Amino acid sequence: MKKIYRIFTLIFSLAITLMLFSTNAIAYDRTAAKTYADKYALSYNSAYTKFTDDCTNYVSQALHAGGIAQKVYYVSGAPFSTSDDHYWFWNTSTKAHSYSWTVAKDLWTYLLSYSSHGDIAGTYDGDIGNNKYNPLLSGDLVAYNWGEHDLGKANHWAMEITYGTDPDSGWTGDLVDAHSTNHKHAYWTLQPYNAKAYKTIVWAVSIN
Amino acid sequence: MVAILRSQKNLLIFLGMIVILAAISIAKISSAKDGEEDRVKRVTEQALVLNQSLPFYWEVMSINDINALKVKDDESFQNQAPGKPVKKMIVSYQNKPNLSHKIVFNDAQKTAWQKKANHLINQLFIENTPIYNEMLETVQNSQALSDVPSDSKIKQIVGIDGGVRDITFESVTFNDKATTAVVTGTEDVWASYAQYQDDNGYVPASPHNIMNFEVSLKKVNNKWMVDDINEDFEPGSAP
Repeated sequence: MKKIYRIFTLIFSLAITLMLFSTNAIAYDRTAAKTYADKYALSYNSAYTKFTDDCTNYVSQALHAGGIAQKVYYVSGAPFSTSDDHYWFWNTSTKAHSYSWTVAKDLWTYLLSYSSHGDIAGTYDGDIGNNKYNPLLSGDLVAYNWGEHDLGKANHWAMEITYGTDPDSGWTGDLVDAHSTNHKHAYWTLQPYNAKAYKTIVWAVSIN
Repeated sequence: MVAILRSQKNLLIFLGMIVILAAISIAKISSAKDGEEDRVKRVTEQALVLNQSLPFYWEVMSINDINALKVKDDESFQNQAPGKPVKKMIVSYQNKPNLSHKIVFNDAQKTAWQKKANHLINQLFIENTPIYNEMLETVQNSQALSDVPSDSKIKQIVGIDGGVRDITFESVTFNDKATTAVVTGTEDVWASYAQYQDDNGYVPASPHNIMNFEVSLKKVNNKWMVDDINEDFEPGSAP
């Protein structure tokens, strides 16, 4: 009986440990991510630094609000290796953070190459998706490359929020929130804001 | 003594002539350089304007030759922040397109659009360079965008017009033999699009953005041609 009890205790402890430390075990809370994105779409959360190019910092915060766990490499308690895209973190006390938290192409690498959180659900090159479905759900991400540098990676991010009418352009479709040029419920390809839309590549990135 | 004075006088005259000739030569070189700089700037302007005009059928069809490729402003943009759309159709050519019904470009129009674009591109861009190929693709992308989707849930977007509001040149540098040049500066680019909605018809949105540019040119058969264009949104002006 004692042996069975010990085995049960061991299995139970293992299960609890796995639940606590497995980042993918907890489902992504899309509503929480979307709520956060909407709350700070046109303002800034003082717990984080405000950057001139704030788009990646902003979507990282919203992803984290939705339960995507930070991945921190600690050495003697201090965050380490800010430029290593295997890690994704922001320390609210020290403001130490990884490039992947704040730099568009580094978040791209983290989400799509080094973690299991992101998948490309659609690529829209030049014709920016007019004739294809945007398959995204609230809390997923939209990535953009303006056709300037590193054409295979994002240089801008936004978060998918809902379907409706963009108040600034009057265009109807999927709507996103974004920082840098701040947008709340903007048409998802950002074409009404982009005189260079025909050079822009857009990716739908699903988050899990 | 008189002979010495005379020879000194001759020497002074001789030196004076040398100075005058040198001044004339410098002036000529400077004037030639200025002329070359003006030519390079003009080709740059034409290339940037064409780059911004190609996605728009009616604009392309209104351009008869590359001399028509010039900076054009519209007062509607004057108080509008970069990256924010003006909610109206903006057109720089003579006849506004009729947006009272759904626009469909037929094959003949698409062919004419591509043919005219190719003709203009060939006059300004060096064939088979990445930027040359990119320019050709721009027309195809624009045609794909305006094709009417078969599914009513997807809304058609038509490009109405586009151009360059303003160009500020920052530098023009030549190589030693003046066979290549690099031109840098900023440009204010604009576009006018419309989304078709079943209930409202076409809903226009016209953005403008400020960009930094670097244009590389080469002399081909004694004519300046564009080898490459790099453009970046000015910080704070991205979509």
